[in-house]
Amino acid sequence: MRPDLQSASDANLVMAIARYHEDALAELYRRHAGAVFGLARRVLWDAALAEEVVQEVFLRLWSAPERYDPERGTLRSFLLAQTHGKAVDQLRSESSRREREARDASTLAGGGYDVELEVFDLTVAEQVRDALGGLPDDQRRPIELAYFGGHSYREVAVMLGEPEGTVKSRIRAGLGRMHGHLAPAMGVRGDE
Amino acid sequence: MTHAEIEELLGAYALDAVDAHEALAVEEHLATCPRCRAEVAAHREVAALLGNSGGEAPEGLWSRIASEIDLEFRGRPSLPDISSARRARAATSARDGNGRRVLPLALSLGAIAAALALVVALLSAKVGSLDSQVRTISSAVALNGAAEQAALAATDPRHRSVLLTSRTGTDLTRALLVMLPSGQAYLVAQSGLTALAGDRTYQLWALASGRVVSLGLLGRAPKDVAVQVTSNMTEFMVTAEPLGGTSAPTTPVLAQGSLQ
Repeated sequence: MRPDLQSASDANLVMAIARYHEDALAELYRRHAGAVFGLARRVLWDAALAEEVVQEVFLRLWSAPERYDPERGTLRSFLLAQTHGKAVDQLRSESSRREREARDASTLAGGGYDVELEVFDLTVAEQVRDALGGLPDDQRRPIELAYFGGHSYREVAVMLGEPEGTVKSRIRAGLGRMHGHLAPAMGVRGDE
Repeated sequence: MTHAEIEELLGAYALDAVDAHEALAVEEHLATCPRCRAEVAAHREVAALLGNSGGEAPEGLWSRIASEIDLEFRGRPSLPDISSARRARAATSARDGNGRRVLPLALSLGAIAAALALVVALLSAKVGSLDSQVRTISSAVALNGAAEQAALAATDPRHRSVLLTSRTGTDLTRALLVMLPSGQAYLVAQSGLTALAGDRTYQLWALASGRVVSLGLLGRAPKDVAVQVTSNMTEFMVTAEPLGGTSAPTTPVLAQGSLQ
């Protein structure tokens, strides 16, 4: 890897991808693929499916680099949002539905999701854990089920036995509250 | 849906936890509501922190991705194939990672190409009369560091960019034009425009209020260049012309793109 690539910003590497520089994509892969894979595997519970998502996410960055707008946030956030969307699409496909139902049943019986974040920055990881842990259960559970479980808020409502409107509001309120707690961490984002 | 109903959905939307018709309703709303856009951005920041981890990617995955890319280069005969694949993907996913509404970018390219071909044909027929109006054709300013300038310009929230691509060629022709409101623009990331014979030059054109105007000569082997644009320019294209340039395109369009 050339040293100028290693020191280039994410945004400049994305520009280089627009020029068909495969090295630039390789460097972005080196920086972000671990996190992309981690999130996909966490949502899909299947390493092979998660690898497919990683492949899709980076091939899409290669073929449509102009979709990333540095003004709207970090590349890490952008890639993770793409990853989550694709993983959820995959989950909602009929083939994986049955397996997931079985898994959810056991998870719910076991008392819910445990957030075991391996965030690269341990300080941020701690803040995220605190912010999530600091939420009231009725806000934390729907966020975990929706984000990590890949469930729609309607499914979450059924799982928790709450009205749909209540679940919607609690997800929104919980995210808002976490944002307040995490404001200091927002400056420490995944650009390395 | 009312504003209040949309607002209630924003958290679930940011977590990909709404169904397709709700997602569409939210995206339509976001296109016109900066406040809700900011809220979704904040929710997505939180989501990204939740989903962020420091693990390693699996062994061997990069080589699979790299070989896919090589296949794309070697196996696909032309750029239109890529853009249609891209179009298909854009159609299946109506939303990008930041919750922005994604317009079906390439949808009307065919129509634009047809209209543009007509305009070019009409104007080419009038080269003689235009010649009297346009006597001097400027060369675009080849600029070392234009790519860096363009990257910098792309961080300006007011910038606009146009990807010029080939519709008919057998090579992967493409170039990116990044424009600032001041009119300063950079044409960078040119690929697939191979060196021309010594008596020919590439030329960059724009369609401005229905007229084709020259933005400058790019030389026989295009470099990154700086050009000036005006706000009424909507379509851009590259042709290969006789050395010294022409006042209107006289050869087929090699790459083109339109401002969305």
